[in-house]
Amino acid sequence: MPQSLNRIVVTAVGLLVLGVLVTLVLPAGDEALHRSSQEKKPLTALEERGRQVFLREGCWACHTEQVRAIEAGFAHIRQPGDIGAASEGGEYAARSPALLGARRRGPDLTRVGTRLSSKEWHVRHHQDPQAASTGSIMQPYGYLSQADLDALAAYMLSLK
Amino acid sequence: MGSLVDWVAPQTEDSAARRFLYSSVFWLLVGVLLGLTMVVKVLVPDLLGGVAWLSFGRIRQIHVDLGLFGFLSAALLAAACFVVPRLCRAPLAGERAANLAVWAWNAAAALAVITLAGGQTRGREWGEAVWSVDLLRLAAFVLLWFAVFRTIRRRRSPEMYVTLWYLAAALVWGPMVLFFGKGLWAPATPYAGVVEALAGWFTGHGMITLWAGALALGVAYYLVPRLSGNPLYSVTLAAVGFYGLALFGPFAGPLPSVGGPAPYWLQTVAVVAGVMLLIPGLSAATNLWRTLGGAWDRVRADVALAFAVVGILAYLLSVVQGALAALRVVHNFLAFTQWGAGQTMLTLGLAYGSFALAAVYHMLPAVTGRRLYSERLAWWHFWLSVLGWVVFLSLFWVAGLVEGVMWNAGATPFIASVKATVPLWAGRLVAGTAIVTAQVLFAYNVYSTAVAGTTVPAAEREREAVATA
Repeated sequence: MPQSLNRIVVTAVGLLVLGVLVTLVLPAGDEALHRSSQEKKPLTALEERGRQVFLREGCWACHTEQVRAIEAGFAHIRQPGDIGAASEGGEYAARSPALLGARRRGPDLTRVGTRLSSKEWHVRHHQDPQAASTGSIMQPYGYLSQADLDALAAYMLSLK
Repeated sequence: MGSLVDWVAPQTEDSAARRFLYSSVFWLLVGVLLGLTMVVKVLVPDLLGGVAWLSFGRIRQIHVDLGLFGFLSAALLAAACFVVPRLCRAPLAGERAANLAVWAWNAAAALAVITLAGGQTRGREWGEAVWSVDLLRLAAFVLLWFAVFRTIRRRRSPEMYVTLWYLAAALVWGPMVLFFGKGLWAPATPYAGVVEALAGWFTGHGMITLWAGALALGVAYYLVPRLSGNPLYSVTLAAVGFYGLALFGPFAGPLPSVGGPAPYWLQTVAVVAGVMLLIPGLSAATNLWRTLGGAWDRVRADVALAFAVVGILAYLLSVVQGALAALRVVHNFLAFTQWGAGQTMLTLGLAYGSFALAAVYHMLPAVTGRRLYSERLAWWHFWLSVLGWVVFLSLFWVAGLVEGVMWNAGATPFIASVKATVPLWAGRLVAGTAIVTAQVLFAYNVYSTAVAGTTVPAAEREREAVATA
């Protein structure tokens, strides 16, 4: 039985540091995280501003940006298979925060630009989601400035 | 001057526990009201649509931060400041330091609300708050080390009881998980790419399992024997549970990465650790349940013990579900669905939350010197909460299964799954209203106890005091 505070603290610290090494430090050197079969263009200033709007408004809480291997080319968002190809580690290389997401109250957005390529549609959708997508539970983001709406739409179009 | 210092950081026994307790009740109210607002906004998306700081994405983050830090952590820290001196049979060695920690903790919660409402975020679940908030929380942890660790060192009790293992470990893990998970050596996250996502999941899993989980179990190991009048069932089993948590907890962080772009071997590590967490989970649940024995007459008479019983059962369910959901085949089916939100709220809200509420009811007479204002209100709180939670969580699990079936069939557009699960949100509005109403009754009862409860007689107070514990 642990009867010494020192032993408990040393055990707790030691195993946690080991956890950090195995789950954060080791993966950083893994080649899987640098693999990318398509050339990723860096975001333009406008797209990057849109990404900051996406971050600031908490969009990432309801939309993932990761396509798992089992659903790649299969999952159905508007058309069968339009979720797109599986995400690769290299696609996120420069992104911080990475915004992979963990919940889908709304659809995955990894490759939204390939299925919805109209800037006007995205702006209208963000201003009035129900008008653009019947049955949507997303709240309207009409309070965003026109510049923010344009930037956000540009970011959506960059996701391919 | 002296009186100001004594007001800010009093030396009086249980003052830090009392202030942590009051703070937790306040943040609980704010947190659940925001949660209910989220449900309403899903049903009526246009509502408050023009107010930026009340947008769904922002209040969701505040709800999460206040639930974990503002309410749950504060209530369990109140319990820690209360039980450590009693188990050590020595006054808290740093009552003033612990009181300063209360200020830092509340300042962090308030700053988190302001910054998140203003759109400043780290963009990861359970690690939303920005650097300044984290620094305040680290400061609080250092102050708590000073108070708790010194008390344990100076203890007059011969043994170191199970509760102290868990509380000491939690106070080590909480700040370490925040520090490494959020990269607190830099103002903005120093991580990028998939590793940044992994660091986020490490933070989330760590704060839930190694921080809140260890704290809650430590408190439960104090409350259940104390309130049921039975000795702890098995110290050996408790040690198995404790070391099991320490051994597997730090490696289960990458579970949400399963199936995604993280290295395959790392996903396997997380799956194994996630399944192995059954060992500490089942040991603790069994141990607490056997300690309770058949003390049902006491459960019926004591709302604190009733909450603890709900805590044990909810914890058992969360452990079993958590291990099952760690398996690849189950994970692949349920990933990203509402099942996950249900599982997290089961763990934090109903399991750890019930232990925290049990602790609040148990401590209240001792820290205020007054009897509970209304037993009847307390039982209304209990039944409305528990029934509300059971319905609320069930609707999340049903929604998660429906989404899992529809997404994995790949035959219908995404919006069809949204339309299919919207009616369940209406049920959540009803159940959520019950939960919120219950917490309002609770807050009123705590407030009334503090200002209008009848005084506990001196002889009775003596029995609960540190020196005689």
